[in-house]
Amino acid sequence: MIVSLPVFLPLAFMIFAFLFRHYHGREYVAVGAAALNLAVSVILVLKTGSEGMLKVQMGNWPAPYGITLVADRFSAMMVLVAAIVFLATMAFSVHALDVKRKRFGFYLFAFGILMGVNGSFLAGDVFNLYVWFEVMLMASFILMSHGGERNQLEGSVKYLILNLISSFFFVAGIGLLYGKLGTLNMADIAAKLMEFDTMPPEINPAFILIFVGFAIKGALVPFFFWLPASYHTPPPVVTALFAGLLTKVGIYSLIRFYTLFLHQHGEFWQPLILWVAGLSMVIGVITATSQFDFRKVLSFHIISQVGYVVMGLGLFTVAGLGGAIYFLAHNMISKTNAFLVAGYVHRRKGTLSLKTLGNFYKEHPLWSVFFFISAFSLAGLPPLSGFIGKYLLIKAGIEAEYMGIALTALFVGFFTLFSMVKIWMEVFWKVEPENKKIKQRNLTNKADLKQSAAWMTWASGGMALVIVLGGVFATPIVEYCTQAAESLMSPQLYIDFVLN
Amino acid sequence: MEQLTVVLTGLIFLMGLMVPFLRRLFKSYTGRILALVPFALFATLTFIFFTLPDETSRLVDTGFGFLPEMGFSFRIDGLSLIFGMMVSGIGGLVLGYSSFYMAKYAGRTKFYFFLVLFMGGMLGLVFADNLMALFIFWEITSITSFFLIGFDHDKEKPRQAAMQALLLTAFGGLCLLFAVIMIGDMAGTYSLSELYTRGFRFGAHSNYYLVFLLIFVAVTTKSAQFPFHFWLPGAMNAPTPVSAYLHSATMVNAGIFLLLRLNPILGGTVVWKTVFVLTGGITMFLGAFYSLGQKDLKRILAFTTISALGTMVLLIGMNSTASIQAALIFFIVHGLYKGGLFMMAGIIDKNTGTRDIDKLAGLLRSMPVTSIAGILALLSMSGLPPMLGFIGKELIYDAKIQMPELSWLVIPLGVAANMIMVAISLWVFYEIFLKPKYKQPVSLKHPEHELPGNFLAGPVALALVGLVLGMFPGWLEDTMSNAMYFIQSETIDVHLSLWHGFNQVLLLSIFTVAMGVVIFLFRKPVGSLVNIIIRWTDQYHLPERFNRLIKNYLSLAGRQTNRIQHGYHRYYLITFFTVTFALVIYQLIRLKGPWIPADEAGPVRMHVVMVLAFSLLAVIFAVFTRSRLSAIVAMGVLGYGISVFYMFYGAVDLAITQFLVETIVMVIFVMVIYHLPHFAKLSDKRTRIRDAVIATGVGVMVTLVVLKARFINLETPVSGFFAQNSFLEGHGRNIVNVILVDFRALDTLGEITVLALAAAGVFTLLRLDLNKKGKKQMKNLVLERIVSLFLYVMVGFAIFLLIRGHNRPGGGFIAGIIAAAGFLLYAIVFGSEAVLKKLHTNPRYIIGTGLLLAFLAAIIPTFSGNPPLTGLWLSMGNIHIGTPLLFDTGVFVLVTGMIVSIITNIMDVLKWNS
Repeated sequence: MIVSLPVFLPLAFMIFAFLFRHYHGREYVAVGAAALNLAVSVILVLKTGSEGMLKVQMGNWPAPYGITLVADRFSAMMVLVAAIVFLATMAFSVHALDVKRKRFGFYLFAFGILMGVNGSFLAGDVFNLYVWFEVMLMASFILMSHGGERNQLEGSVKYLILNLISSFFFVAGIGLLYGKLGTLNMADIAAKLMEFDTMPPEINPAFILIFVGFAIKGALVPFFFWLPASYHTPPPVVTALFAGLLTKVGIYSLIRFYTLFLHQHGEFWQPLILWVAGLSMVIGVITATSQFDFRKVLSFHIISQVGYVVMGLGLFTVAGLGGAIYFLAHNMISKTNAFLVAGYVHRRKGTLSLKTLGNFYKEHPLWSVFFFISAFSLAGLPPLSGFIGKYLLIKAGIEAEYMGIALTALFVGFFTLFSMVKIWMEVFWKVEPENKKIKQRNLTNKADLKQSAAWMTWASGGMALVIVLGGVFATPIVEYCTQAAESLMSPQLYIDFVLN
Repeated sequence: MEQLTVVLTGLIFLMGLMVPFLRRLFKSYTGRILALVPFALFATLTFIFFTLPDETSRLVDTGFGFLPEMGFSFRIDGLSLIFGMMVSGIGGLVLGYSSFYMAKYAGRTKFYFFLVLFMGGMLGLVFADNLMALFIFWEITSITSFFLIGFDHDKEKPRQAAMQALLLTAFGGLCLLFAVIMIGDMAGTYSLSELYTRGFRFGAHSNYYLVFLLIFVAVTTKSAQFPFHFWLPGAMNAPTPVSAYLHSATMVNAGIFLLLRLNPILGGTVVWKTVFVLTGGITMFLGAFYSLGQKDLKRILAFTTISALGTMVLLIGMNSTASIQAALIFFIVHGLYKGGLFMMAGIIDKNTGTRDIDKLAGLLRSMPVTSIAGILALLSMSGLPPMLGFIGKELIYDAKIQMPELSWLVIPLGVAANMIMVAISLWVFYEIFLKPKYKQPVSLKHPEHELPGNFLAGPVALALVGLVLGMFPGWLEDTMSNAMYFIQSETIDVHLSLWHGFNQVLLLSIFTVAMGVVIFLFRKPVGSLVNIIIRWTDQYHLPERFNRLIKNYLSLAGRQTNRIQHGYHRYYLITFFTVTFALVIYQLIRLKGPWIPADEAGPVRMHVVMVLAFSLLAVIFAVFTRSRLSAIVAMGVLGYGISVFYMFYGAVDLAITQFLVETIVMVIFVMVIYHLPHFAKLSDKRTRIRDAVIATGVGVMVTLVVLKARFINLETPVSGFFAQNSFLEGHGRNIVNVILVDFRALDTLGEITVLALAAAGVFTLLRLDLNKKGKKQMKNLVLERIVSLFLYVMVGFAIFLLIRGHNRPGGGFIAGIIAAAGFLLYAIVFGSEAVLKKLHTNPRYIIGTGLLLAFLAAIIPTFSGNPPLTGLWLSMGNIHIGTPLLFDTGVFVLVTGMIVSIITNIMDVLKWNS
């Protein structure tokens, strides 16, 4: 039951949002539901920590016939981190989002995303995974265009169409797979593939289609275009939510598929994955450094950081996968919080263009600390969580004797630092340039300035704390990730658990 | 005592983090209060200093680390003692000094915050027994120094300087990280003690050169070696206390420390000797040379620091007993005099308002205490007795002479650098303390006796220590021996004395001093010559070069970004499809064997061919037509074609659903079509051909993949299970429906959520920015009657379909669409308002209710301990009623609500009613 709660809890909130749509305390209900979701996911993590894996057969139909929801350590960890990210963004939105957007279903759609994300993490069935992708896509598309500002619509169209292609490839791949293997249950597919001595090459095209679907979702090179085209358009809190959750689901699925299925044809997939990882890291960071918009810098960086995770996967060792999982978790939190700070900056200054911003360090020292923690965590500086993530991955690379990709990861970290320093200098240190336009905007923002920002501060501060603690007390987390990686590396465990 | 060291170091970090509160508590005394902790640490270390036996190191394991392999264990041996005492002692003095120096600055909280953390980082680095921990503290010093250098961040210059310092040192830091991990990988441990005791030497390892290169970069960037030295003069943009600390005991000395620490593991190879001797030699000379051309007191000092650092790197690179010993002593010497001189510069700056040596004059009379401390420090810098600097320089010369294979290079460079040191000391002394005739003495803001004691204490204390140690160098011997043991991994007895006979070295010293005096006497021509050279080299001014490098990089990156993220949707699509195409085709061409399985090719069935041809025509028509309306109709035809295919293969439910959905979609399309902009033909012929080629390619790819897929179909599909159990366990003859509401109900739940979201999404998209809508209604009673009737019939039929759906074609989806079709017609005739009136409620409540019903069907079974969505059945003879039916009802209600909601919203926006 606990395994299915992360799916049914958001659904319950959505029903509430439909039936009580005029209720004024909706934001507090949302925060409460998000907190409840966090509690559920903590239980899930503790339980998987002690028991290894949990499952529930929906409708009481045995696997592989009914749909299985499975939580192993990896998925439980992802559900937990998603819950943290979600709670923070919900709390942040209480004071960050305009009343109109809140009234027009913001929370409904946000919980739609949560449902899709949690479902994806727990799905033990490929078609079911596709369904959760669809839930996520629909909800996120609406949030992307929510409010209907002009550039928002422009971004949304690209987001929708390019992601629909992802869905198309994914579902086509599933169809082919089903046609070949006659089953949709992941464990069953893996078991059937293992029966072959060498994986029949006829199966590969289906997996390529699915891989492309995931790579689009995960914004990997060369399939990332939708992300930088759209992430800077919606309200910052929406971007924060997206940055924490969406691409990560694609990467999660890629890891799941690789460890269950693709590794059997490793001589084709491993170099491909490593190349994609390296290119994503490099191209992501080069494009990011060239930007002069707070959110665009961060958005392009997503590509690069997703590359790190995929690199860990490509190494395909316990250390590499463990590092990848830790990095993924770290990145979800740090990235979201960086966007939350962007949201606060936007709220105070009415713009996110680096050239027109300034003075933030003097005016808002606390928020400067929040940004510093998040951004320098992304850049991988100790004692923040990003350092641990980077360390684990590079170490895994060296141990696996992939010096090239390890060095790439190392120097990409340097450029990441550079772009974070750039934001720091422009937004926080520099004196705000005198500009009539900005002055006027600040005047119109006066009403905003008076409004409380307490929820924003608590949300972002809490996340910053998580980042610091995640770095300083990394030991148990890394241990958990390593165990998760170990179980991923022996898919037979998963197969036996689900099918028996 | 060792434990106390750990506690006090921890306390420094804690104090650093608590500065914001301490500042509130202690106000302007904060600096002095904070200084107590490092002083206490200094006292502790002094105690250990006098009690630590030879060849022993003390380890204290704190039992904590970010990761198990990064444990923060403390290592106390001669080397860390020497560095630790310098860091804590000078640190305390600097804090005390700051409390006056910074008194009028804004942002003191931040200043103390970062300064104390910086101190903590440096101490951690020095005492770390674990290389990873060492790296972490190394980075902490980089980060905190970034904030200290950029303290005055309103100005462009400090910002740039801070960024350069951070980028360079962080770059070095990354290299260090990599090197440390590689060392760990080779040795299996990061612990220095273990590396030392197990006697690892990596000189012959295949990865040695990579590790060496990385360490080299780390050291040269951190310790400001040529060509990365340029960040250090920029770093003097920091407040003077920071400069004093940065140059004397911390930051730049971290690289030196690292070299000494790694010497037993990595040192002694040919490449180690050559590269570090060369780098150090060049840096030593260049630093000294550049200091001649400066006018700003702090800049002069900054360049002499570079020279001193070069000297230390050179000595460590030489890697002889004498040279390492000289490096250690010289580190102490340099720390003492450089700290004192920077503090002196700060006092002078505060009191006169300038640091320009051309403007300063006659300070010996007006500021005697400061001046005497300064003069002692200058004596030490020029290596004259009775200061410790003399011993240091003698040792250096001694070490250089003892290296015959290198002495041809290092002696001239060393002597030249030292001559300049002598000259520059004299020069500074003459210009600012004496009163040359051509200069006006500067006026003081405060008489010296009004300056607070702790402000003057720093330089005075450091000068006295330099003097006392020069007189009694024997105090250092024991600890030096201990340090030497762990650096050279052999027992070495250190003997230090001020006077060690009349020999080669002394002759060289006398020559150096004499030449220094000569340079001083000819300072005008020398100065202008140096200036000419500096001006010539300024075209290679490194800080500017670095900035330009960044700028060029940015514009290059910008251009590349525009090329990659170009904003053209069509090219994104092309990329997606061609890459996928290439990957799949690459797989396909590796396949062997026929494309069409010979035995499976059944007879060609005429009706299939006809439907196929019809659908194909529709597609072709849709592609070539110029009217949206016809394209939509054509696509509808294609949809009907697919629905017919479902029929042929026996999937009646699918066929009906497809048919209905296709119809509704067409209706909605037609509703909005007149509100779309004109159909424009934007692409020319060539792009159309290109697109056609790509589209065909992808189509061919999919076809081939499907054809090939036929070759593996070995497995019994799960559908067999569904067929068997549908009626027995699921109580339904309609397998499709049982799959939808029972076997795979979770999928359905997900999909109806998508529908609910879509309906709500349409509402928000259309309404979020709109104000009140216009209202108009048609009145036609007769028509209303008929259409109402039709509505009731449709809803009734839908309910019928819903109920029988479990056994025969029908079910929630189909029923929902049928019911919605009734509302759709009603809405088309009477407008959206009328439908809403008819419903008596907002469609979104209907959606919510549908979702709720499905949710209940999912949740109810869990109360009896079953998994969610388990079918619970109540059987009365042949009639079975169960939760799957509840689920299906939810689907029905939701689908109806969703379509009605979307349609009414669209119609509202289009003002359909008129």
